[in-house]
Amino acid sequence: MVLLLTSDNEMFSVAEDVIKRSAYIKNMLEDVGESDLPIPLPNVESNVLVKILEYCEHYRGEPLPASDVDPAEIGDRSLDIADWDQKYMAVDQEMLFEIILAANYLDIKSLLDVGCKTVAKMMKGKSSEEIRTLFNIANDFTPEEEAQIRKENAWAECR
Amino acid sequence: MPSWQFLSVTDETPNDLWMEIAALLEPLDILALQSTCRALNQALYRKSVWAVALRQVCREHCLFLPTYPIEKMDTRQLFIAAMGPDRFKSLIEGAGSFAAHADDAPALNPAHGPFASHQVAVLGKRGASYLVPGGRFLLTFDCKALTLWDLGLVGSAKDINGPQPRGMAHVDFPPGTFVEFETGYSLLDVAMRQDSLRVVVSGGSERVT
Repeated sequence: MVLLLTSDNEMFSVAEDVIKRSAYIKNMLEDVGESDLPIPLPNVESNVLVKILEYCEHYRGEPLPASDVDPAEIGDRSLDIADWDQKYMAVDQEMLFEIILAANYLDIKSLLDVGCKTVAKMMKGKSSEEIRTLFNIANDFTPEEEAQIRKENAWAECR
Repeated sequence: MPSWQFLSVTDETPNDLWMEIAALLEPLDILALQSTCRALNQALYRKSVWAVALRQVCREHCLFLPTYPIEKMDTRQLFIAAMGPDRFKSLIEGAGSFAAHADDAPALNPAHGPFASHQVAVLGKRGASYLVPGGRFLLTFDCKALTLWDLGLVGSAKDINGPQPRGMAHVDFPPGTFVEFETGYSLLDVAMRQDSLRVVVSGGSERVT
């Protein structure tokens, strides 16, 4: 079992083959070896870790993705998401972004992909104004910048 | 703090997550996103983001990748080059028809001899467009005309609203040659031979070469 300590000081005891989906923890276990000391996760809150562990638990036993994927390889922009992953990602926006951050921090590539696809899907085909509304983004451009952007984007504003 | 900002305040890899998301988006989506606010403009209007976007545009249109010296292009050039197909589409939609711009272009003559490398595009409702590999020339087809356009030297324009596509040559179809198309109903078949193109368009029982 591996002990994890979240940012809000909650201790989790997790089976090694579950949490090894996190390349960050997997590497740490390989570097440090067996230890009774908990691994501190100062960037992850307990409610988010619960959600992350749900993902790792579901994919327990599935082979880990190969780590030698060429990062220069261009993805195909496919936004297909498996059914279970879609249900898993049906959370509020705050949790969605927390999951992406934690997946990035813990280096869980497949979960990071699903998170990014989920966000990309939400934005696809939307105008700037619709995206602002969707994610509660405040428009902080100056009137001059705004005018410049409007001029530049005029051709694209039929959408 | 709105939750989208979570992705912009990571200590070690700021903005890389927005880059991951941008890699999944079409150029028009990235444009919309980077036009929402300053933080996202900074995160997305970058060489790395638009280089990926341009590579994807090249792949989707089967372009010969060396057409663009991506390493040497600046953000502005990458952005404008990646926007090319969408910008043209929007110009055409504004004009109402592929044929509208091409009145002064000379008529095309049939070419003879062997051609290689076939490319087929399924027609949409409005017609079809085919970007000739290399990105400079574009063929458009609707039931009124087949037109060859010069989009200008690839990636050289500095102004996004800059030089308009120029109709180089066209074939007009007499009314009634083709019926108005439904989605996916007809084919545009393009073959390439060094400096010539052969186009076969078909609609219903009619076939014109």
